[in-house]
Amino acid sequence: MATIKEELRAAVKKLFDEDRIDYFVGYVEDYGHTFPAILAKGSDLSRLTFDRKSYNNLADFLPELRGSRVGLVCKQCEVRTLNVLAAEGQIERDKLVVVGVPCPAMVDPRKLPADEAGLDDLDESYWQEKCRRCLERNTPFADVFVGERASTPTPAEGWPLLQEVEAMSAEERLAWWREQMSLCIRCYACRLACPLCYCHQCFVEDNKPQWLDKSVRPENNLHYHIIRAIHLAGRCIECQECSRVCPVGIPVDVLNNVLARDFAERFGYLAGETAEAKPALTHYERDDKEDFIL
Amino acid sequence: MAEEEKQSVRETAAPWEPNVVGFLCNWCSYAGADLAGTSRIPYACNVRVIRVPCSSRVDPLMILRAFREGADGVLVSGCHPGDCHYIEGNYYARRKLIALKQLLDHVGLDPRRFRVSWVSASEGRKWAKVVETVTRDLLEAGPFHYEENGDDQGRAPGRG
Repeated sequence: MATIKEELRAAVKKLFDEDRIDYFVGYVEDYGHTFPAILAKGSDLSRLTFDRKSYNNLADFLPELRGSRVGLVCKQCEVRTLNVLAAEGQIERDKLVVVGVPCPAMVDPRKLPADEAGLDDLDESYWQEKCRRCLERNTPFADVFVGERASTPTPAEGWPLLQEVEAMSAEERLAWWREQMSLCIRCYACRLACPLCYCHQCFVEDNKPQWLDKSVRPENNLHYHIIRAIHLAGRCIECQECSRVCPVGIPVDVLNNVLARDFAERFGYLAGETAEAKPALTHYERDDKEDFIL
Repeated sequence: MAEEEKQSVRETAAPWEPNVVGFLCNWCSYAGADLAGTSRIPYACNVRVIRVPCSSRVDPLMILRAFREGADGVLVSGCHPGDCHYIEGNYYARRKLIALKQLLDHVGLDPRRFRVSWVSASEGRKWAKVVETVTRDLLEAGPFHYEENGDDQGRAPGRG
């Protein structure tokens, strides 16, 4: 994909030359890796890239760059995140230059074969789980488009791990989560990587009242993850960054998937579908389905 | 006294009694519970009431905190949809509580431990029935141990 890289570099150079942006958030390649970077004016743009390892959700950097004029590489994950952030008033659209890229479906580095030569031809079994469920590979809105339009994907149904967990009995699920939570070291990488966890003060840091023990016990950890999922209810766009960054490999996103699916079925709500839709928890219908209330 | 009411009162205390934390909205359920008392309807005394201005005041944090502090069950009760003193508070509460319910069910918490009810200020009898249902279910479910090796109160080892 030499062409998309060149197109991207030229587009970003133009944005800087025309003084339309102060920073550009994109991916750079170095040491054989692709990783996100914030480039300031005058930075070396020759390492700028977009390939099948550009899986990070770049919208994570936007709240902290608020106030500056920012350019952003925008694939489908970012599109939906931007919609949620816009609905919540967290981004200033007129200060944002969206560079739309067609997403080739990202590969999962944990599944990659040792020889990375044929990166572009890897089939679905090497993909990130989120990419198998993707509804659209093109950016619907952008100030600058680069690359050729991708074909519309055929999304897979459901999340395999969620289905696996839900096939268990309640006792087994409790034991499974207890096991997972006993691994958690509460490094809060999930919170940091989440583009929608942008609170200046998280409830876990509250002292008066202290909602949650600081100690790393499975029950405290579960408490933390449940509340985090609640705070992302109707907002999570299922980019799976939380699970990807977890240093001990807890599939944190399963909790978010539960709520995302339930909100879709119950309220017909898909987070980040549009920037206009009101967030699910700041809105209600008189006849919302209530099936457990006495 | 009606036959059903006589049956509803347990003659002797069970060897273990469930601790239920009840979050009651000031305008409906709290008044409903009050009415149950002034009407002298006998019902189980296991619910410890916390009065809140509205059911939407109840943050999922409070519910988890109640379990953390040793509650065997949590009951949230507010005005019927459409009857909210603040016009729409309970509609928001409903969505929030549905989300929490989904998660608690998913992680394998016994569904009998977290209940929500709509009780109006005139429904003293319904309040008594709700408390009876919740208490009976929890007597079946047994004590809640939040920690694997916690004490009888469900508290963490070494905690007050």
